[in-house]
Parts: sequence; structure tokens; C-alpha cells
Amino acid sequence: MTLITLDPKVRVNDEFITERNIVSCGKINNDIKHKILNDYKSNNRFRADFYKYIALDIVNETVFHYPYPYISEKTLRPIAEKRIFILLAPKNTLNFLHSIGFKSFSDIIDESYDTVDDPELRLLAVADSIKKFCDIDLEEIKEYMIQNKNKFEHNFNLLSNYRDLELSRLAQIIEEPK
Amino acid sequence: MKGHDHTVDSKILNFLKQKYNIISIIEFTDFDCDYDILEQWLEYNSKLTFRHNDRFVITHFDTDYYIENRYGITLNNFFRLWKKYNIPMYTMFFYTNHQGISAEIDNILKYNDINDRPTVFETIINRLNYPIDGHKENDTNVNSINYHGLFLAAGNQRSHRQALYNKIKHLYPNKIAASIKRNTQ
Repeated sequence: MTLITLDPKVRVNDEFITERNIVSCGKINNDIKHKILNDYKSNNRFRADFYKYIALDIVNETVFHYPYPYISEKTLRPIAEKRIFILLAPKNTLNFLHSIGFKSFSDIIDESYDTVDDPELRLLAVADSIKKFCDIDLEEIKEYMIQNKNKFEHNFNLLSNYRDLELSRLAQIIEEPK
Repeated sequence: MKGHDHTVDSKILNFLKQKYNIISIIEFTDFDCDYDILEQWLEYNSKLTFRHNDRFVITHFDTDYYIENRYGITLNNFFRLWKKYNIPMYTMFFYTNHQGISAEIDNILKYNDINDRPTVFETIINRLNYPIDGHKENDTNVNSINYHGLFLAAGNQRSHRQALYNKIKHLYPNKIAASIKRNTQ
């Protein structure tokens, strides 16, 4: 039996820098912890009080240069906390969220990054979207969030009910004749 | 497999138990690329006959090493070993968060009898990702917002997190709040 193994053991292919070397993956110089995170002690992945201080969650998903949309609690947390989000995630992850009913914020975030195939260019597109968002006056962002409260509520309610929806879907899958 | 809570959502698992006789649950993280562990589990669970409603639940929420973004090493090794122990594929309930991986599994099993295939359930729900039970709902409160964004990178080292932070670090700390650990020199 021939298996392919990697030595040392590697659980994700983290190398997506091409010969063009457009982005720098150099390690960050120092550990950083912003003051709003100083008192965070919760063990609940969905209970993070510091979300009240921020508008946009920059979701650094588990994988980036990866063939499938991969959703972890990192993506679900801003939905649970009713915040705007941008995804540093595999291509079409945002499209996948749309396909299962979640809404996003294309009227205040440039979401074109989601369909960029080249990983370096997609990362640059995410960075550009973040920079553009940070150029918007914070009061304007707050007003946007108040005006779009229904969108946050929709996402939260969908997430809350999602397990029941999945159970119904699972029942159909199991009952389906093969 | 181990003496720990597995990642299957409890309501989904209860539903499966109503429909099937669940023999065992194994998570990809249980063997974590140590195929001796997987082989021991397969050998222990292989037998001459299986009933029509016997099932093994395989949870697949771990990342894989992909060659050219199309060949998952752990996934392919897993199915090779499963075939080695002659456990029918239909007994496998493959529970994964990889959206679209059914096509890769179909390709791996393309020479298998069409009636002997696993049930692949792609979902975002697992016990760790979806602890929405008991989550205290917040109002869309904007009064306390003082920062544009939040950047969290205190988990495993990943080059994409380092690369993005290098592009936006000038926004810290006035516009972006960040927590970064283990992605540093």
C-alpha cells in the first residue's frame, strides 16, 4: 500500500507565494495585543465583548490558498456578533455564504476580492478593500450599520436556525434513493 | 475514538442515531496524518459482514495538504486505507466542512460500485464552530465603536495572515485593533 506522506508532517500547504513575490510573508516583528483585547478571558468562541468596539471583522480563516470554501467559527463569529466582515479565505467563500442565504455588505465593502483566482492578487484585493473601508469616516460607518440593522438581524437569525435547516436537508439526503 | 468529545453537532448525531446503527466515530484529527493509528482503527472495525444500516461517522474538519490545489494527500490516503480493509463504502457517513469536496471523493471512488458510496454531508455546523446555543444575542450596538476593524492572528502560523498584516499594519492601532501571536519572529 503506497501512501503519500510529508516529512515533517504538514497539514496545510501554506506556500502560495509565486515567483512574482508580490506580497511579503515575512514574519511580523512583535507580538501585538490591542488594549481592547486586554480583558478578554472568555472560553466561548462566540462570546467576545471586544466586538462592541469595532465595525469590521477581518476574518483570517484557517486556510487561504485552498480548493474549497472552508468555514470555521472565525467566519461565523462576526455574524453572531452582528458585525461587518471581510474574508481572507479561499476563493468563493463569500459566494458560498450567499448561496446558503447569508447577506454581506457590498455597498460599503468592495467584495470583488472573493472571485479573484490568483491568491496573491486576492490577498492584495482584500488589503485594498480594508484600506478603502478604513478611509470611510467612522460615524458614516455607524450610520450605515444602523440603517442596515435588518441585514445583521437576518444573518443572526439564519445562523441561529441553521442547524434546523441542516437537519431537514440531512433528512432529505438520507431518504433520497441512491 | 479517543476519550474526548467529538466535533459532531449533538442534534445531528442524535438524528443519525435514529436512522442508523452508529458503530464508531473517527475524526481526521484523531489520526492526524499518523496512518498507523488509522490502520489500527480500521483493522479493529473491519468485519466480515455489515448490516444495511451500520454506519461509521467520519468527521473531516481538519485542513489537508493539497498538491496543486486539487489532490488532498490526507483525503486520498484515507480512502486508500479504507479500501485496503474492505469496509463497504456505504457504511461511511462523511461529515465535512469542505464545501464541494464531494466531487473530489467521487473522483477518488470513480471505479467503485455506484451503489457502494459514502454519504458525504457538507455543512458549516459542528460542535466547535456552532456553539450558538446559549449565545447571548447582542443588539447592533454602534455606540461603543471606536475602531474600524479587528485583526486576530493568535493561532497557528499562517503565511496569509502574516502577508495581510504586512499590508495593513500602518492602520494599527488607531484604525485596526489587532491581536497577533505566534506569527512573529
